[in-house]
Parts: sequence; structure tokens; C-alpha cells
Amino acid sequence: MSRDAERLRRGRAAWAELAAQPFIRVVGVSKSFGSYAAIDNVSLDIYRGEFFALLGPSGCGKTTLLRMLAGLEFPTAGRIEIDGSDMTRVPPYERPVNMMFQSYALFPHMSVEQNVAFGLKQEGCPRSEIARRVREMLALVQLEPFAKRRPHQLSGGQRQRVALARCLVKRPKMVLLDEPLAALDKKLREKTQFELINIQEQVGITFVIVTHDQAEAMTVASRIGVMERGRIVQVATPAEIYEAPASRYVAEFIGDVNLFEGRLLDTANGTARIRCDDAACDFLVEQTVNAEPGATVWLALRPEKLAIDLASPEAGAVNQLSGTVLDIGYLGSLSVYHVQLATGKQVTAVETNRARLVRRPISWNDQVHLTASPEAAVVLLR
Amino acid sequence: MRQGLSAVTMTALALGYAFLYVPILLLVAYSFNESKLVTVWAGFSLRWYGALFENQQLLAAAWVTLRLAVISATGALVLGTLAGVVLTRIGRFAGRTLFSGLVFAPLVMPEVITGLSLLLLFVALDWSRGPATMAIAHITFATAYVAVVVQARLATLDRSIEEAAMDLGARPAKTFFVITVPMIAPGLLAGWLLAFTLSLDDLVIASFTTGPEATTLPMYIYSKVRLGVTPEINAVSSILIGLVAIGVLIASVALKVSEERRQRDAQRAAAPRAAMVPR
Ligand SMILES: Nc1ncnc2c1ncn2[C@@H]1O[C@H](COP(=O)(O)OP(=O)(O)OP(=O)(O)O)[C@@H](O)[C@H]1O
Ligand SMILES: [Mg+2]
Repeated sequence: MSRDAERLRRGRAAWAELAAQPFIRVVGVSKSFGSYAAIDNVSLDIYRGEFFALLGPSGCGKTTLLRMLAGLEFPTAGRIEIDGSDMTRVPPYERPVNMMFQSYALFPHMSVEQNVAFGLKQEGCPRSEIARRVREMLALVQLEPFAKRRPHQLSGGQRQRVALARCLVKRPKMVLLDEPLAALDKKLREKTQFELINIQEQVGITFVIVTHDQAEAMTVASRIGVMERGRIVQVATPAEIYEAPASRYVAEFIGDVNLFEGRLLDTANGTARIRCDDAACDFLVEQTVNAEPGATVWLALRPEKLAIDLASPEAGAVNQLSGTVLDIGYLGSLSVYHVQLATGKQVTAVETNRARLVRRPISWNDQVHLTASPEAAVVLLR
Repeated sequence: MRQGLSAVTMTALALGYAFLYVPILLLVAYSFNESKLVTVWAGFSLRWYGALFENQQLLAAAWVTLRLAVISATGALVLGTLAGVVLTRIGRFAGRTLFSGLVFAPLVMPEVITGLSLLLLFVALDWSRGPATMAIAHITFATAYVAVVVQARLATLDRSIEEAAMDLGARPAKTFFVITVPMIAPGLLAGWLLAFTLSLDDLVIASFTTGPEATTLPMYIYSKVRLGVTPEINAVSSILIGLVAIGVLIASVALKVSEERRQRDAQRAAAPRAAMVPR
């Protein structure tokens, strides 16, 4: 998809370029409810036109952070800047920011049209302009036939679009979306993810989306901020997060991963050697590791980066493990192999099913060999 | 699950209803009695209802009562709504528990005490007693009822709807009138009607706080009954019962409608039908 590539390039350029001024700056923000710190010293820069995702498990503070950007909650400490001006204590009705709520929060006593027009009316926009902009917005989200309906007469997907239209129509500097697709079923959710991307491109507004669905974050976002218990633990592009997670927590949260605990033996010319007792193997990883030899490190290996074979690899091959097949999951496009190593540790390997399933060469209780190239694994210090 | 009505439960139900409503039914029935003697049935007639409209004293009392009920219900609605908003929307503040206790105290306070304390207050302030002091007294105790109804409705309202309005640029006051009030309208109606009927049939507090020239309908009825029950009193009482019954009926329907609407919204939010995408 060339448009996706274009989007990635455009997005990447913005924050890679050092000269680019951050559009939204969150500086050392904390938020406590009583003695409980929901957000703990978070700093974050978001750039103009980005589609930024906040990703994390339930209760990690995603909504709280978003609400502080919207002005619905004020930080206990720290500062929030939007487009150069300090917004830390500005109330929501004076911020150039609109939010789409998890429950959509449509006004039940107003029609779709009136819901969308509400924000413009508050601005004192002239009638004719309100009518025109509402019409345009309803066209954008394909809701024209439903303009006169009340929210309770709409399907979940339609209500989601009304909520989106309502916060886009004011042309805010930033749109905040709190789990916008959580209430939709899987098929519709996937379709809507791409619509969201398209709409964001058309309107050119900065989007910040909250989600606990890593696949959703990977699909829609130009960058992802991964959160853990009130802190941001990594901010990077989806590919970087997946290929070079900053910690075990991130590696495990995004996608599946095999983790091995090990000891760093040496780091010579960009290659680290790691002894993993639970894999009974020394791993070679092409990565500059900032740690002293002898330090405890972890090795992360994505299942699809492990090649699985019945035949023994040729002599001299590195990073090889062997074990017996415990279980095979056939997922249509993929097969998932659960392999038990001699040490007792279980490892997962995934292979795409390229050929049609005529015979399955690997079966239960087979002795198999797993290999990973030195570029495939990642060494984690945390 | 509805259980079948056994003979025992039926009897219990009948006895219960009889205990509550036989006296009232008797009163209503005798208001249509032809005879001047209250206890002797002499055939159906509407003559006592006709006679009501000749009775200037009674009409004056009815007018005082009606005005008082409208004014005090409206006053109680405003104050009770404010109390409900404070109790549900302003989070924790110093003295919140005390405040809610004070708001709801009149619900359990004996009327005699409410009446007496207000009388002492008005005397101390040297206010001349009449319709105005009665209205203040009625607002005082009806506010608690309105606050209960409004608070219950506000507590179940999805906060994020109001937040969305503010996020879209509406200031808090505007949000309240344009978003909150329409959504709790059935609760407000119910609260007003409740306050209206409470004021309409109050005797004790009104007697304490009124002056010589303002007499309400319950006070008029009470003073007449002390001289003996007349069919005319039966008729006016029947009208009063009718009014109160209608008020309570509308209030409970309004509450039921708002509750159903709330449940329907909650259900739809929890399990939205996903398909039906326009194309
Ligand atoms: N008003 C509040 N008062 C007290 N605690 C709160 C309040 N709002 C949030 N919290 C707490 O702060 C933490 C973070 O909540 P938040 O709603 O931001 O989580 P979240 O990441 O959005 O989770 P989810 O994915 O479940 O929506 C939670 O532990 C929650 O209990
Ligand atoms: Mg949340």
C-alpha cells in the first residue's frame, strides 16, 4: 500500500527531524487520586499531524492521561503545552482539543445533526456555516441518511461515527479518542481502523488514541507510547516497538515472544554472547549491549523468527535449540508449534503455511530443531 | 418471576387494601349522597359539589392552597435541584456528610417540630405570618423530597455526557441547562409534583406558620369537621384526593419513564448491535 508507506514517511519525518517543534508537550506530569498515583512523572512529545497511540493494560492510566490533555482532569504536578501555549489548568471548554469518549457520550435528547452541530453553536458560528459544516462532516462519516435520528435509533458503529464527527467538526488542534472501537465487533473494528486512518489523513488533525489492543495500535498509529502502571515505558514506531522493545514488559505486551534469562559472556565487535541456562545454549546476538560481562540479561525471540526443522542443521550453525513437539496449533495461514526443550522450558515457533496442506511433515512428539539467526534475537536489560 | 396468587395472599392483599382505602372510598361515596345526614344514604346526587361553588370561604381557601402549592413546589424544585447537583457533582468537600444530613433531615423530622421551629423563627424575626411564611415553610420541607428524587436521577446519569458538552465548548452553567436538565426532566417533573401534593395536603406545618387571614383548604376542612362532618366537606375532600392521586400518578409514571429510558440507554451502550453500517 503506497499510501501507508507515504503516511509512515510523512509521520516519521516529523519527529525524526530535530528542528520539528513538538505540538503537544507533556512535561513531568503526575496525577494522584488521594494517595494513589495514577500517572507518575510522564513526559511526552507529540508532533503535528501524528496519529499517536497510548497503549497499555487496563488501569495503567491511559484514560487519566487523555483526560488531562482534554482538561477534564488537572495534573497534580507538571505542565501540558499545546501548540506553544501552557494549557495545564485551562478548562475543557477553552481548549482547542476535542475528545471522543469511550461510551461515545452522545446527547440522547438531540438528533444526530444536533449532536454534531453542538460544538459549533457554542462557538457562535453563523447558522448557515453550521449547516454546511455539519453536512460536510456527516458526509465524511457517511451518516447523511441518519441526520434526523436520535442516538438510540442507531447501531453501535453508527453511533461511533456520530461521536467522531462531533469532535472533528470544530476542527480542533487535536482529537483525543478513548478506546473508540472497543464497543464494535471484530470485523467492523478492523474496517473502522482503516477508516480512522483515512479520515485522519483527510482532515490532517493530530490524533491521540487510547487502546489496550496492541494490534489496533500497530495498525492505526504512526507512533506508540507503551504505558505501565502510570508511566510511559517506551515511545517508538510500531515496527521499532515490535523489533526492538525496550524491556521484557514491552516485548511481552506487544505480540508473542519467547524470553530466556541469561548471563552476558562478552560483547565483541557488535556481537553479544549470552549463556542461557534454561535453553542450555549460548546465543549470539548482533547487538551492541550496554552492560558489563556477567550481567543478567534477557533474550527475546519472536516465534516467527525461529525456524523449525526435523533435520539437524549443518555443523557450525549458531543459536540452535532442540526439543520435542508438545502441541501444534493450525490457524489456517499459520501453524504454531509448542516445543519443549530438554531443560523443560517451552518455546513457541510459528511458520506460515505456504504450501497447501498435503502432508504435515512435523507432528506431535517429533524431535525438532529450532534455529534463530543472530539478527533475529533482541537482548533486553530490563 | 410472578408467583400464582394463592388464597392466602389474595386475602392478605384484600385486607391490606381494605385497611388503607375503605375509609377513603366511604368518604368519596358519601360525597355523592343526596341526604344532608352524612351517615344515611338517600340516593345519588351532585348537589354538594354544586354547593361548593357557592361557598366563598371555601373557594378562597382553595385559591390560597393552590397558589401556595405552585409557589412552594417551584421553590422546592429550584432548591432541591441545587442540593442534588451539589451532592452528586461537586465530589468531596468539607462538610459534605453534614450537608447531606441536613438536606434530608426534614424527611424524618416530625411535622410538629418543623412547624413549631419555623413559627419560633418567624416570631423571632417579627415577620407577619401569612401566605409568604407558609410558602417558606413548605419549601423547607419539600426541598428534601425534591433533592432525593433529583439526586437519584443525577447519580445514574453518565457523567461523560456532561463532560462531552464542556469539551465541545459549553460552560458549566450552559451544560447544566442544555444537557443535564433535559436529561433529568422526568425526575424534575416528578419532584415538582411530589412537592405540589405535599403542600396541597399539609395541615400541621401550615397551621403553625400561617396568620389570621390566610386559610388553606386542609385547615378549612379541619375547622369545619370539628363542628361535625357535612356532605360538603366530603365533596371537597374527594376533589382534594383526586388532585393528589393525579399528581402522584403522573410523578410515578414520569419516574418510571425516566428509569426505563436510562435502562434502555445503558443496555444499548453495553451491547450495541454492531452491523448495519450504511453503505
Ligand atoms: N476519579 C478517580 N478517582 C480515583 N481513582 C481513579 C479515578 N480515575 C481513575 N482512577 C484510578 O486510576 C487508575 C488509572 O485509571 P484509568 O481510567 O486511567 O485506566 P485506563 O488505563 O484507562 O484503564 P482501562 O483500559 O481499563 O480503561 C486506575 O487504577 C483507577 O482506579
Ligand atoms: Mg480507560
